[in-house]
Amino acid sequence: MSAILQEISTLLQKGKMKDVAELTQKALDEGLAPLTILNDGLMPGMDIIGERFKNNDIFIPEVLIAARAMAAGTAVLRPLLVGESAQDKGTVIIGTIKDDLHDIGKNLVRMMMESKGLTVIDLGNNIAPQKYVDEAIKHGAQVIASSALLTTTMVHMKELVALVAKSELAGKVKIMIGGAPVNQAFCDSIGADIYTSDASSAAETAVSICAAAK
Amino acid sequence: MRTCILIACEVFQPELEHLNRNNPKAFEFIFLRQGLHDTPDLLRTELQKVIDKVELEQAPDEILLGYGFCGRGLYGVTSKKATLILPKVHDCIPLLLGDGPDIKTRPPEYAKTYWLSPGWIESSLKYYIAERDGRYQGYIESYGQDSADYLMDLEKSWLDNYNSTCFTYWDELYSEDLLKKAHFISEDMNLPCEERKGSPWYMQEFLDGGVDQEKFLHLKPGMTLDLNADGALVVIPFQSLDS
Repeated sequence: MSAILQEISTLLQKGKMKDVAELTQKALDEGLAPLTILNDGLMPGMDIIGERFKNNDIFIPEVLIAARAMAAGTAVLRPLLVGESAQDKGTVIIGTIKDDLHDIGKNLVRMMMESKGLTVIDLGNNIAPQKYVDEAIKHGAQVIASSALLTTTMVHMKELVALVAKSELAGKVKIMIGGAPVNQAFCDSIGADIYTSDASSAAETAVSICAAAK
Repeated sequence: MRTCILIACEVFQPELEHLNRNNPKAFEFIFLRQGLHDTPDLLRTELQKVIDKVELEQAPDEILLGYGFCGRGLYGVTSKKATLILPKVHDCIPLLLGDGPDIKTRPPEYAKTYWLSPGWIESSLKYYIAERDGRYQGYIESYGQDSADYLMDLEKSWLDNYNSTCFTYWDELYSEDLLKKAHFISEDMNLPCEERKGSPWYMQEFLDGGVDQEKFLHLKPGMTLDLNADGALVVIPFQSLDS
């Protein structure tokens, strides 16, 4: 890895948004390909952040500021990446489930997924099960990701699973669920496809699902 | 005579102490810090430690747990000899309002309301507002001014989804001072403050022993509680804490 890409990765891990954007531009000016900067500078930095977060080595604030720096870097690259087939890693529909307004965790998952090159359609919070289905069909998504913080709202995830099973998405889209009160046993009990316990694992899993679907 | 101890979240301290003052069979209370539901695993661990200690040192016949399911923090909580009794609720709101057990779906407006009770007000002032400046300074030192401002903005952003706060109170515990504090917190949150009178009946039944198993869960030794796929709180055998 060239020195400038290493520096981008290091600054991203420190959450230095402005520095990452400036260095990304500098790398372009020096003639590095946009995809090289993304794949060998920004993404490795975010991968290290994801791994350290999963291992409880760093916490949510560090992830949030790193994800913001990542977004600043990719914003510089985005106009130049249009049409790059390597960027078409898959599409995820994400939102918090009906009646649940708690979206900090969902936003973190979205940022981690975007960092991995996935196209994420963020529906926001308090999303009715039918809305996930409609949007997944509209965007040709491979994954529907739904989160809940309240045990009073988790039950709506079961409705989501049932609606997908009855729709044209059955067998084509995987349903991922998460949130503090959600666990593997609940995932199994409602028939959802995958439970992940943290944002980093959720992003990795979504990438694997999308890759397998191609 | 059957012996009983109550372990509760300190959010209920004003209500429970008020009812206990009028209780001819007043018994011992142990309160745990409010806010443990933010980290359900920690809530479970801390509560279990206290249950284990109480069972070992005092061997009561029954332990009343002043908790709801609390973000699944009560999953895996169990006892060796005592019966654990707790309200059949997901969180503290139905106990404070006097709504009764969580059997039906809650009114949709509840989702967009940030509830403030006497206990919530004290803990919001103590744990959230009072500690916020320290948190901000810590962010500045660790990540710099720009990132610190961003993190504080994010911290407040979850409130964007709420429509209002609601100061809920029992007549016996109402005071102008509390109302003033509720308005202070609401202004800090940039939300309008509504008021709603609650009722002590459900909490009183709990304090009276939570006998009615339609309204209260009774966990015999070796049992715990969980949520089933239909969203109902159910008693299940305790197995392990790894799921």
